[in-house]
Amino acid sequence: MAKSKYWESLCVDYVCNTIKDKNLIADFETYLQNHPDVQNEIAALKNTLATTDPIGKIDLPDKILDDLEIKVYKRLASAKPTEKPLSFSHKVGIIPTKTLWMQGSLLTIMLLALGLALKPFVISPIRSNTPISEVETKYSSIPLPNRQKRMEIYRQQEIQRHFEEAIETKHLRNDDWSTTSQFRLLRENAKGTGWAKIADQQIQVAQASSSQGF
Amino acid sequence: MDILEDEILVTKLQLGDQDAFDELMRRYKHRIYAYILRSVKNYEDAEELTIEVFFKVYRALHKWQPQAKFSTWLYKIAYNVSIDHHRSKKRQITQLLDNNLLSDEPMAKDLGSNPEKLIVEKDRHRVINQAVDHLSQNQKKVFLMNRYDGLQIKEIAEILGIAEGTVKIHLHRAIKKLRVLLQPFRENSEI
Repeated sequence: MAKSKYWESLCVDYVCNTIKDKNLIADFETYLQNHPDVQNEIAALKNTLATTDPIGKIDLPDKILDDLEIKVYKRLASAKPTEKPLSFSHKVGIIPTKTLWMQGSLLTIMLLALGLALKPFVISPIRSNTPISEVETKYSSIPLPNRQKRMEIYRQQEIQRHFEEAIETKHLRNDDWSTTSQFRLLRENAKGTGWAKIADQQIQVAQASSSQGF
Repeated sequence: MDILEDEILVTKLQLGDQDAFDELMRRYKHRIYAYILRSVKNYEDAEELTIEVFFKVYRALHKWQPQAKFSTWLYKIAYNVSIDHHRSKKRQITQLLDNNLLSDEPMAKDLGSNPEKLIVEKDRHRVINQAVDHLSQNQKKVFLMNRYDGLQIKEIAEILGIAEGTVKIHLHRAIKKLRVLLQPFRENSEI
């Protein structure tokens, strides 16, 4: 009797496909073959679901849904100062790359022009008594802040490339060990930025996934 | 595959890629709108609340952890927004709209094709909706989420903050109760 009650308690699970154990499904189906009353119960439950399921379908108004994205952005734009949308680029410490590229290009052109203009006076050993090595040091020290910015751009680009490779490994190769390794590399390269935190999170996920696999 | 893509999109958004948010909205707006519409039974309110859901999602995405499934988290926000809405509105307003609203819309579109059949269909919907309304609040929530939003037991448990076993019990009772409630109509071939 108790056993019969157990099988009967599985009827709804069976109908709703919530039984994950394939052996249990097979056992239940074997049980069903010898119990027509339970078969009838299953049929009745299936019938109930078949009756109620169609009313769940709703005709959604296309117009509302077409404009939804715009309305969300308007809502974000009209948010009060305290509700100001988060700047993710600020959070991860990224300098807006597009602007910097433009600034960098302009600065490079200006520096090249300046360099060419100064070349006859500064670098020429005939006109200057300063040794070349010293001149080069002086020259390279002029645009230092800009060079640092430029270096930072390259660093960001490299970090981004590492990140993309790591994500690719994670999702295409599904290799937890390689994923962890690549995110560690990323974490090392991105020390002091928001990327390091993201890399850390991804390492934890990969490690958790790996330990579950074992 | 969807899960992985969601995760990538969220990470991209966290890194400042706005297109990723557009894609997430495109992917989930229908489901979230339908879910909220079932809850509030009013198209305008559903639209407003769906916008609110995505607004909250955008602002909270930095809190999202890859350990949690994005869709579950999204539904949880939608669930909380609906609850807040119900709390803020007087109960009688939603009761005024009742069940007919959702079933009327598809009917009206096809009214010219076969009026008799549509009237029968409308009655059928009304009966079933009334039966669903006779479920307890928890049974109804779980039943709607599982049958109409296609959410798994585990996801429903996370959204509602209850144990998986409890979700199963509510679902079992809901289906069994519906079976009993609809039985007389079935015997009379009314549904």
